Amino acid sequence: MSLWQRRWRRFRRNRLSMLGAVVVVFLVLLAIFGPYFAPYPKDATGAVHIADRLKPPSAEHWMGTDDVGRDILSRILVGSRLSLGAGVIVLLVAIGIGATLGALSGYIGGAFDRLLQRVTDIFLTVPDLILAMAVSAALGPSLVNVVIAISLVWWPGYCRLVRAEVLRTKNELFVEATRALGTPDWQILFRHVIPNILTPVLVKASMDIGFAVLTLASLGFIGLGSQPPAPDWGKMISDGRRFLPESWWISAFPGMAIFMTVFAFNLLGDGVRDVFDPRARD
Amino acid sequence: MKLASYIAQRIMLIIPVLIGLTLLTFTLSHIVPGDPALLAAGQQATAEMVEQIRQEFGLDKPLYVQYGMYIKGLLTGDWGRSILSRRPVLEDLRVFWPATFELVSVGMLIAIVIGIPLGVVSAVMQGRWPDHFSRVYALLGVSIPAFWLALLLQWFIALRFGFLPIGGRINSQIGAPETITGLYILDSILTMNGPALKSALTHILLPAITLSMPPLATITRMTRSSMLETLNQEYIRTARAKGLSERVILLRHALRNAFLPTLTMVGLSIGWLMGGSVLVETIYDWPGIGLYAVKSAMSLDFMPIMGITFIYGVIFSLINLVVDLLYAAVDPRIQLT
Amino acid sequence: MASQEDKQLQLTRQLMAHMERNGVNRRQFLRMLAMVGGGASLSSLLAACGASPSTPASNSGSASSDSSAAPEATTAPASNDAETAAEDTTTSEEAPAAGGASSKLLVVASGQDISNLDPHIGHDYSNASAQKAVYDTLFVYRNNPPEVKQLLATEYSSNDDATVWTFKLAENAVFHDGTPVKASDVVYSAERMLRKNKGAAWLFTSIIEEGSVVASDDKTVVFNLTVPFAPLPLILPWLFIVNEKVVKEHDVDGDEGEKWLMENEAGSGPFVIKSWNVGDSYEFTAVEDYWAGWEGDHAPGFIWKIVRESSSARLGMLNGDYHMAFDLSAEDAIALEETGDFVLNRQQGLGVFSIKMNNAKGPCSDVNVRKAISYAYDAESVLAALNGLGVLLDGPLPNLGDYNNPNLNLYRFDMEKAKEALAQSQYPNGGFELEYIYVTGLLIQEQIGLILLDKLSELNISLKMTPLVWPDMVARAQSPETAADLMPVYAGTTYGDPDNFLWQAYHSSQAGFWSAASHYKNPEFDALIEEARSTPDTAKRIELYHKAQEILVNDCVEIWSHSEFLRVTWSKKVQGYNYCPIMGYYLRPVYLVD
Repeated sequence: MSLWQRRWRRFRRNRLSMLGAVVVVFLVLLAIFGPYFAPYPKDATGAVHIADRLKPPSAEHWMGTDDVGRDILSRILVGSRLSLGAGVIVLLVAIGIGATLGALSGYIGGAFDRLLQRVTDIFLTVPDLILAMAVSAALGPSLVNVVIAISLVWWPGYCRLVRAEVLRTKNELFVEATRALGTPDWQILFRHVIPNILTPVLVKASMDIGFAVLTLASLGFIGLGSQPPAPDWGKMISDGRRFLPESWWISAFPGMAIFMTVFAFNLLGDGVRDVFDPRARD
Repeated sequence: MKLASYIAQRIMLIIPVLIGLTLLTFTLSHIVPGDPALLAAGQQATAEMVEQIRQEFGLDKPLYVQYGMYIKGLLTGDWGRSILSRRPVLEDLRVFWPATFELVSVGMLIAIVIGIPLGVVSAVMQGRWPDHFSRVYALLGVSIPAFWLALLLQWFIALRFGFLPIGGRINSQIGAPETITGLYILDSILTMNGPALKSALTHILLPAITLSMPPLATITRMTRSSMLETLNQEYIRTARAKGLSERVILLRHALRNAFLPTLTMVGLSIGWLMGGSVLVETIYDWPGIGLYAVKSAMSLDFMPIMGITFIYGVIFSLINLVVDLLYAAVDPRIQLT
Repeated sequence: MASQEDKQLQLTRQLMAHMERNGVNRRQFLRMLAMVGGGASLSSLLAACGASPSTPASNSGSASSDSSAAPEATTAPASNDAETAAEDTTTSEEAPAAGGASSKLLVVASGQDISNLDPHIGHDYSNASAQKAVYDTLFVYRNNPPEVKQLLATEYSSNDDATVWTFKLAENAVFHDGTPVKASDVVYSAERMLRKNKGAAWLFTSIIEEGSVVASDDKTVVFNLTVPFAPLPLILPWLFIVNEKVVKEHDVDGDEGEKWLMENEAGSGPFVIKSWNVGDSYEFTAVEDYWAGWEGDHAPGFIWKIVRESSSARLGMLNGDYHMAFDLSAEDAIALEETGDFVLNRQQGLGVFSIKMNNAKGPCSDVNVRKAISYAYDAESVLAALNGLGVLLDGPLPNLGDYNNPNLNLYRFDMEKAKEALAQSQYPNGGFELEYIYVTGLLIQEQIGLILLDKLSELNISLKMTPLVWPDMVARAQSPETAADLMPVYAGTTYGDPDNFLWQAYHSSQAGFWSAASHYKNPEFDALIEEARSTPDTAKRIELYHKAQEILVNDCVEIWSHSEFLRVTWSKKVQGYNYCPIMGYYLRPVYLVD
């Protein structure tokens, strides 16, 4: 318990990370309750008002309206659920696949390990945005496919991480001791190895979630994300691009939302890493 | 001898990875729904035209034959044709590569030229405002969506104030300088073409700045922490005790040793830059590989995608190899193999 | 100008006469016409020709009556040519116009790459524009309504049944390498096109084969058609003449220069290539002593600059970097127009934008569901999203004069009527989902989907929007099972006869073709348009087509939306440009003033 208290204290001392944490909590709340606060929630689910198209920010529309007259604030609020949700799912899937294979690879070793290492090499050898773009283009543009594409590109990172941790833990004294006592392998894996690798995975995940949101938005921007009328942040930006000279607000605000989200998660992730891995701290 | 065998060994490891990569992209290209032959034939095409194109591209053969054909082509320099442009993919890549290379290089240059001094300064002034600034920036820089920043710069600098061009590589009325390397900046210097140089520089500025943001952040951060680490090392303290000037200590000892991790970061950043160029090139209408990739992906033209992925795989593997070799060259303590 | 119309009139008369005699597959011909455009003037001409001699031409008062006596006139009289030559400064007799290249380099901004300059392969508006710059053809299209003018051909004639055509080539026509344009080059070009069988080849494949075109002497070429085909001159603007010698010099493994011609030219046109930066810009230089001369002033050359983003093109136009832009968004085009320094084309073309409904499968097979959707289609909003750069359609046809049935019972936007219609369907309370497929990245199609989605939700119908690349949409249309419930289609290939629009899209035999994605099958309708296409009498045809339109509208086959303007925008410093609805820009007469 005192370990966690110490960690919490160390985290709290970092003002930037605290700020990040506060913003993240705020964003999560928005993602959950945002649709109820949205002034025109229907604008995120399909309502259009051509007569109100391209209206600048005003009292009725704080962030203006887009090319078919939809309220941008409402779409951003409802869209936050989409972006954060998809980001979390990407991580869950990537960690699920990556950690399982990484643990097996590290534990079994041998040919399986070598093969898997080469497989992860394949994925790590191409810039991930390009690979994700190729995968989601091939699967067809949709939110589900983009999530699949990014998870597919990201699992090798976790695979590597977990494998390294497993290898490290496997050779540690207490594990060898338990094995000598005749404890079955799977029990060692679950009792000793997994708890030990949880921390680095969590730290990496807390750093990655912002990037997941960013990558999702990037693919959405290219046109590979969720499809209309879903309020995809990236797609909102690219839609607004055609109206940029007069109607800057269409692109500017969703971009601000992405930026805030990613920045807050990065601040938080930075703090989490400091707490769990003091060596990384200067 | 040892070096040669090490390189050979590393290349042996790269080969299966590249084969795996071709398998991956080949699989992807066959998941694609729809009929590429129809795409190539165009709206008015008759059934015979479609069939002709199908045969021309080998789309009527069994999968393993097609894969075999693809690999054979890769090795013999025939990377297939872009269905859209109908040009050989390799030729397209050759044409688009210099633009991307130029952009990535300038972006990298900006990141290094600003990032390393900034890192040094924040290490030396640890805990004071430049340090805080660099720390916030390190997170800011990687958090800004590149495509959004690009649009903001476009809107603010190009559209509102007209300081810089909104996109493209060079003013079309000035025209590209005579091709020597394909890099407009270099070519216009080599041919003493003033107007072209000016135009090329103004065109590359916004995209390169946009692209340099994340690597600038990471390089600054990496320089700072490795500087700090070395500054706390025994020999630095010794040097200080010996009364060497702080400047000498910084430049001769600390920076040299902080160079290694920074070098790694630069190597890794190149990969990021090539990925990021996809978005930046799309927005700034920069006629490079990234734009080519997006166009191909959006029209499900998969031969170029396979080519691009493959060439990036090769480049990235080589960069990693070079970084490792440099590592060894810089730091004799590191053993190859 | 009268002589031009005479010429067209005559051509069309030949066609009509020929069809009466031989019953040639008229549809085939019309499809070809559709490809080459033809425009409103053709429709009226067709109307004029089909009419009995007592029926005056519907709109062309200038149509001289003298030639009407000879509907089967088979030769284009030399006098007519002379007259043309006198009026048309483009003909070879004219010396190169004084003035020369005093103006600046013209820069045009296009969102579309010149992907393949090979005149017998590349075939879209950007390729066609470049091909028209470096190659010559026997005839060229100009102006709106489109007119076909002589270029390489100075004289021509055909035999009685329009199977043997003889063309005299301009004596002074030379290729860029200085060798004269010979009949053998025309023969080679035609055969190369047939062998490649790509691009515009399909226009010709049903009327000529290898060996059909022969050179009777150096400057005389004879087309021996496999079937009678009266309007041959109307499709000849798509046969680009290449320099046989140069092409053969660049033959690689028997590819007939295919690789080389992609980025190089072997033509005799008004421009030559100066530089070729793939995916970026293409520069062309004017041939100062162009054999056919220039029309007054001319540009020293032009740059085809690829500018993918509308906002970039707009900024470049404002800065004076570009002088013409072909692919601006409606907002950007209007913003430029509003500065007063630019002109935006507001001439109506003949395009038809409609939303195909799957008549054979799913909820849309119920006519009342289709009516409900049509009533719920807010066409005014669509036009507003286009910033008014288009006109609403009044039925299945674009504006074709007398052919348009003025008494159609149209489904104008009315949610009450939509609800009433739905109440009479099998789904009185809605509660089903429709799929709307559209072309990825096409903003207006996406906006239309959103507008529909919004209104349909009031009928408790949900809409799933699926963006696809065009080939996938074509593939989906092939069977009623895979065809989407709703699919927007822009029929851009236009000519002015109702047959083109109605046959392609609604005749049972066409079901599954992308333009017939509604899978409409109605024997009564089929019989009507079959009769109409074989009837020479215009009044009768009008009657038949009026009836056919009525049936379509009563069956509410699809949503007939609007006709969009071609959004070409040019600086007021640009002179000599005339909008022409035919694909591709002919830049020879265009130049800049200060």
